[in-house]
Amino acid sequence: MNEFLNMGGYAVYVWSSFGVFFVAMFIDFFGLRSKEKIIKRNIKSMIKRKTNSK
Amino acid sequence: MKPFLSLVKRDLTLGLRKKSQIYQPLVFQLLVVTMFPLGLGSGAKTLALIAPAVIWILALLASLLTLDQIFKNDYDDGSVESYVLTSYPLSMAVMAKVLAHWLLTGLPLVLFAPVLGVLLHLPSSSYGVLMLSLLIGTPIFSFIGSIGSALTMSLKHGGLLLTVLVMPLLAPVLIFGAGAVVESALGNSASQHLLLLSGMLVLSFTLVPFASAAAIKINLE
Amino acid sequence: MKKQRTNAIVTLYHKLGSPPSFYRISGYFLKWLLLISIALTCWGLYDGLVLAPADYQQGDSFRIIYVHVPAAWMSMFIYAVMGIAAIIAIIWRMKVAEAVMIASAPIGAWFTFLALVTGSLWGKPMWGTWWEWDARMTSELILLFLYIGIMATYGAFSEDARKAARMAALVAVVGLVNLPIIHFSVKWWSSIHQGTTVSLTGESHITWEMLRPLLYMAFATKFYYGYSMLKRARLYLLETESQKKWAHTVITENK
Repeated sequence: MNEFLNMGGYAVYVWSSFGVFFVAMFIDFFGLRSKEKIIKRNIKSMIKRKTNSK
Repeated sequence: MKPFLSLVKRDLTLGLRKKSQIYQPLVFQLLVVTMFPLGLGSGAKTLALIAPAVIWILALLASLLTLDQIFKNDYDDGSVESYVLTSYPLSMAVMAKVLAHWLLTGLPLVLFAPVLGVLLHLPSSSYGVLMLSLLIGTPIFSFIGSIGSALTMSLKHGGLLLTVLVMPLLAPVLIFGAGAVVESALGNSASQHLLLLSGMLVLSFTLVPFASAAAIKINLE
Repeated sequence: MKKQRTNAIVTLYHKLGSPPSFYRISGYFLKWLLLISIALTCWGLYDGLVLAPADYQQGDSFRIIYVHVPAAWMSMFIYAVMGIAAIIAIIWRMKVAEAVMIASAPIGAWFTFLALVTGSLWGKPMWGTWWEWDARMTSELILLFLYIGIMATYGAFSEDARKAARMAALVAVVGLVNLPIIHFSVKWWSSIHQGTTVSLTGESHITWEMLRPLLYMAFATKFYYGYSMLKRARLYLLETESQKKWAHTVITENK
């Protein structure tokens, strides 16, 4: 296991490459989710306002 | 041809009345060039080595200062709409605007370049190529810049966006323009660079007016 | 027989061109795209980090290839998709094309950024430097600037999303026309400024055991792009058509 984590002495480069890759993907993924929530909430409140004013 | 010439003439008279657009880029260039020996040391060899790149980058930056003006004033006073509404092709109006802009800002940069060359100890054999390369290159700045100006004309602070949009597109121009001067400073023939630069000018001459016209139309929607 | 087939394609085109049916049809794919992408990534990671043998020249550092190369491929692939969508958006004013175009930009920019960062992390142990002004890295950097320009244009006109998208589409098309010029001039430029011309893969032959994880990861990034792009495109359509009835039914029936 230690040997695997050590990556033949290149641990820093290999793991930070994979790390930055997945961090970026997570930011994209969760950013998209929160954006979805905000947009849907906005439209929902807009519908509510419309039905209330009617 | 008549509307074209009258549009160029109108822009020239307007530009000559407000002279700041013409001399400010030159003052800017002079100021920045002064900073180089101060920061780098006044060694003639070092300065001569970086001179082609510095002069070309300064030409690029100095034209960026005025590029937003190509359509901005016309947008603010509403004359851009009249270009769209008349039967005269919009791409030709773009061409006229670009030509006027180049005559007012690009040509002075070309004529002023030898002064910068002297200040940076550019080898005497390179002055011809320097001016020729700028003569071919600065119109490309105006052409490509007209797309950026057409895109950002309705924005209050569009200057930074224009820079972000235009700079990457001008990278090839810088490569071949500065490259031509470097080659001539080394005593080599610069014709290859200059030919490629001319190719880019022809390409932007034929394609850019349509892109700018499209940008104006979308912007006025 | 043949006629019917083309009709089916034409109807599919029209269906995908209308925002409500695009929204509905893409909804079926989202979950699967994400699941396939995650499965392929897990498989690719195990295969690439554990099963694949170390390179005889580069040791284990070559494993960075499994994130670097897929990211670099995606950076160009996405720009191509975005450019085509942008052309369609400008010429035919197709709203779905606008959505696809503007939805591709953020994920494309991420992959371009990743290609640069992982390339730099690979370059340090192999070339001994974080950054080398070689043709590929320079073009990739300029590509990142183009992505940033497209997103900045979209952001600058935020009060009118449709106009913003069409402006951004124009920037994308101008960039698409310029990309070959930029690419070849940078290549030519770097061949004159003879730097250290070490290619990353070196002379080592890539064996099937080493190539296999690369393919897994390449497909994983493609599927994730599909997920991220479709999801963003759906949100764009929902936002720009929020006054329409279909958007209201989508929102109210969702919860």
